[in-house]
Amino acid sequence: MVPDDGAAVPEPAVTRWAATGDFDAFVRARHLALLRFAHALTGDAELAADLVQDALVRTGLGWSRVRRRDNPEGYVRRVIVTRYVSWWRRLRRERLVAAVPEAAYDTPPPSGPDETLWRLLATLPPKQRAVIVLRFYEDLTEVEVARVLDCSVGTVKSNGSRGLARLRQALTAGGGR
Amino acid sequence: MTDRLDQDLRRVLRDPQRSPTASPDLVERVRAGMARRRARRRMAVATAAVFAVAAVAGVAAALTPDGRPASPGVVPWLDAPVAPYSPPPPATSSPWPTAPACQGAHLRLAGVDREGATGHTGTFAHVQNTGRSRCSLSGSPQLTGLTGAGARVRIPAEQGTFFDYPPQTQQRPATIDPNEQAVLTIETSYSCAGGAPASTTTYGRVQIRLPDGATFDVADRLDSSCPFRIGTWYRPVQPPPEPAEPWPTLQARLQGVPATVHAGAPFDYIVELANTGPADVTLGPCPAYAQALAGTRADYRLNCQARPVIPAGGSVRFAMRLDVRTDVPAGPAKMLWSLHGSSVAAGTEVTVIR
Repeated sequence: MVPDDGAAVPEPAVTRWAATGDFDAFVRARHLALLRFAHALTGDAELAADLVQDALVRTGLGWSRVRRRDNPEGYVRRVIVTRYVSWWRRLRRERLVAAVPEAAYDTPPPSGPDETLWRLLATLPPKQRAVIVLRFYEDLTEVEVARVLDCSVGTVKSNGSRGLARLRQALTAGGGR
Repeated sequence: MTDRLDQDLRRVLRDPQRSPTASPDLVERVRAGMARRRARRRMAVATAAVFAVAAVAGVAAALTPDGRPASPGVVPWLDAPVAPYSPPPPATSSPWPTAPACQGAHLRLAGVDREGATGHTGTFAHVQNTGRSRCSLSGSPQLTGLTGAGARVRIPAEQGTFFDYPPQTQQRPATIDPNEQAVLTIETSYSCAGGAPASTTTYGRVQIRLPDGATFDVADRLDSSCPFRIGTWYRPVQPPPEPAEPWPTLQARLQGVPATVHAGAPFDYIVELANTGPADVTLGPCPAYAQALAGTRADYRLNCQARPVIPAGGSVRFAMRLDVRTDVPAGPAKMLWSLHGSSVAAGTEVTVIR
C-alpha cells in the first residue's frame, strides 16, 4: 500500500539521523496531527499511515534543508498531498489495464448521514478531495491551498466547486441529508 | 445548502471518532525507512548480478564453520559487543541574553501571515525593530478585538499554541537587533479537545497591545469555536547545521546473506565496505555497527585492527555473524546493517524458519 516503489522494509536501524534530535522531536510532536490530516485526505487509515511514514522519511532525508523553512510541517503536508495524488493516478492507470474488484466489506458498513458523507468524500478525485480537506479540515484560504497543491487559485476554485457539487448531487440523489 | 454542507464537512472530517492512532515506535520506523532508502540508493549503483554471484561464491569460500574466514581478503568477525548507539544531543544555538524591553515607538508591524494545520489556524504577527539598539519582547501581549456591538474588549486567550516549536528554531524571549523581527502566534481553532465545538466567537479588528500601550492591528476578523490561544514572542532562528557524515564516501553491501535463517541459530555473511572516494579512508576511531533482524538488534565493534584503511576506489570485506533469537517469528523478516552514527547502511530480506 505504500505509495512508493517499495522494496525491502528492514526493522530498526541505528544511523546518523538519530543525531538529529530535533527531527525526532518533530516526528513525535506532529505525527498524530499529520496522521489525522492524511486520514481526512485519504479516508483510509492504512494508506494514511503509509503516506505519513513516506513523507516523514523523505523529510528526514532532507531535514537539514527542510528545517530551515519557517514551516516544516507545511512541507510534510505538501509531500503527503502530492504523494497521495500521484498514488491515486498510478492506481487509476493500473485499474485501466487490469480490472480490480471492489473491496468487499466483511461486515455491513456503518450507516448514517456522516458515514454517507465520509464515503462520498472517498469517491472524489484526489485533487477535489484535497481541496476540500485543505479548505474544511485545515481551514486554509484558497491562496494557501493553491500554494500547497502547487496550482493556480483558479484551479483550486474549480476543483473545490466541482467537488462540492458532486457531494451535493450525490447527497440529494441518495437523500442523504 | 452550502453552509450546511460546509458545517457537515468540518464535522465529519474532524470527527475524533475517526482519528487514527499513532504508532508507538514511529521514530524508529521513520529512521528505518530513511536508512532503507539511502541503502537502496546505494545498492542501485552497484551491479546486482555481479554482486549476487560474488556474494554466493565469496561467502562459501570465505567462512569456516566457526565463522573465521578461510580465504584471504575477508577480515575475520570480531566478537566484541558494544552498547547500542546513543545519538548526541541536538545542537542548539545559544539564546541571546535578554536586552531592555522593546518600545512600541521603535517597532513596526512588518506583516501578518496565516497558516492552517489539522483544524488549527495560526495568525503570525511579525514586528520589526526599527530602533537603533537591541531589545527584547517577552511574554504575551494583550489581545483585544471588537465585539458585534462595536465595543473593544480584551480577548481571553489561553497560553501556548499548536505552532510553538522547540528553541532550536524559536528563541524566547525574542531578543532582536535593529531591523530584525520577532513573531507572535495567535491560534484559533474549530477542533477543540473533547469533541465538536458548540458555537463560534468572532472579533473584529483584532489588535495586540504592548505593555507601553502601543497597538498593532493584526487581523480584520478572527473567529474561533475553541478558546483563543496566544504564544509568547519569539525570534525565529536558523538551527545549526547537522553533524557531518563521518564516512561520506563509504558504501555498504551485504553478501552471502542466506535466503533462509534458523531461529535460535547464528548465520554468517559478509559486509563489503567500498570506498567510492578519491582518498583512502582510515577507520579511526574504529566504528561500531548494528545488525537488525525482525525488530531485534545486535551491536558490535568492527574489526578495524585487522584492516584499518579502506583504499581509495577499493573495498574491504568484513565477515559478520548474527545470532537469530529464538523468539523471532517464522516467516519473511527484514534485515539491516548500519555503521553507528553514519548513513552507511544496507538491507535485505530473509525468511526465518523454526
